[in-house]
Amino acid sequence: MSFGKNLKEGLVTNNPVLVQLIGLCPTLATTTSIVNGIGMGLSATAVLICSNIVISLLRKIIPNKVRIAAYITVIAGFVTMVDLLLQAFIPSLSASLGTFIPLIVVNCIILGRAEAFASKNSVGKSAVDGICMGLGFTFALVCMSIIRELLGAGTIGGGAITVFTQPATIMILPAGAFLTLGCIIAVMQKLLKKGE
Amino acid sequence: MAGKQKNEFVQLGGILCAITLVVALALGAVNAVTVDKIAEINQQKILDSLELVMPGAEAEMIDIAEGTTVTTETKNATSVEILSAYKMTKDGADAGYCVEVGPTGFGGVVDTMVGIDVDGNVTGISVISASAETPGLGARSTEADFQAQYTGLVGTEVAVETDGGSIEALTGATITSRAVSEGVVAAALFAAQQG
Repeated sequence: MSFGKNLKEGLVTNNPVLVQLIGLCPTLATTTSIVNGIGMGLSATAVLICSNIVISLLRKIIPNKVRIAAYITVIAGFVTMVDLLLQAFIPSLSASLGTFIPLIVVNCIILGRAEAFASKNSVGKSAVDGICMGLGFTFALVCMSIIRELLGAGTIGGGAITVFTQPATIMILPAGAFLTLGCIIAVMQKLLKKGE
Repeated sequence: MAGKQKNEFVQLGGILCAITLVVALALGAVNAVTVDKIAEINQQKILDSLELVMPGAEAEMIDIAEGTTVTTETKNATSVEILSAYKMTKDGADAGYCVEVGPTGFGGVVDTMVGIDVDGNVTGISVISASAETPGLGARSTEADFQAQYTGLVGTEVAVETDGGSIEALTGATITSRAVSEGVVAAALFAAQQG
């Protein structure tokens, strides 16, 4: 399978959030601003690529009976590294994402790809899968956060540009997250149907 | 059969143990690279907030027991944790105290630095972190306009308007505003206890 086809699958036809409906917790919780959305998306992508590579490397060594424990250990290790690196080098992002960085450990996308893909495929393919699924996740988060930040805070890019001053605050509250996600999934389904 | 089963346990345990060991070593390496940097950033945050609430003064940290709390005697009487405290001096003269308090807001602790002068007046406050508060509502307590209201007030009499005070609460975030106010009262009480 070519990289382009993989990318299309991750971004559109098999998008982890919008089609597979996994990894919804961080999608709903962290998309209050574009900066947060991109930060969360790329952090999870970094973890996903690394864990996919390592798990693929170890796929013949890890015994079937303890595979979940082994995967979680590897994933938790990478998440903690990302957490420490963010705290040290991008402290503002670390402060605004807070507890959601450690929670990447339990992001279904990462364990899901380890179990469904990396444990059965070669290192190269697993790395490509990690990149594509990670970008698909990031893409969904960015779509969500652009809409929510624009409607809920009236700004684009973390207050860099103010569009209007009477925003609908509900859009950056949890209810707005569900509303936005529902609408995006509906649009996505419509487009996918058309494509068939 | 029993021997075979035992072997399997040893094998499974051994592999898990090896993976855990490698991950632990890698984490140790990353931690070694980042630990100083993180400590430095946290230290800088405190120094910045001290400079903000009491400009030009020198701080000397006071040892306080972990988990020290002060209970405010206001209408909402809450127990506020004292996170750290500093004895301040300016040009060689006693300038009061800076107290870092952690009142509970809507979603968690609102980490706030409060400057109290020798007369018990607020010299300024700085919300260091309100990341557990609602974005766009309580999280706006980190904005300067809100914090400026506290400057010059008598520390122990601070309260939001709905509680009969003079602090205009953030729109839609009375709980966070009240928490910050309670934190300021607690800081003033703590400073008064120190003498």
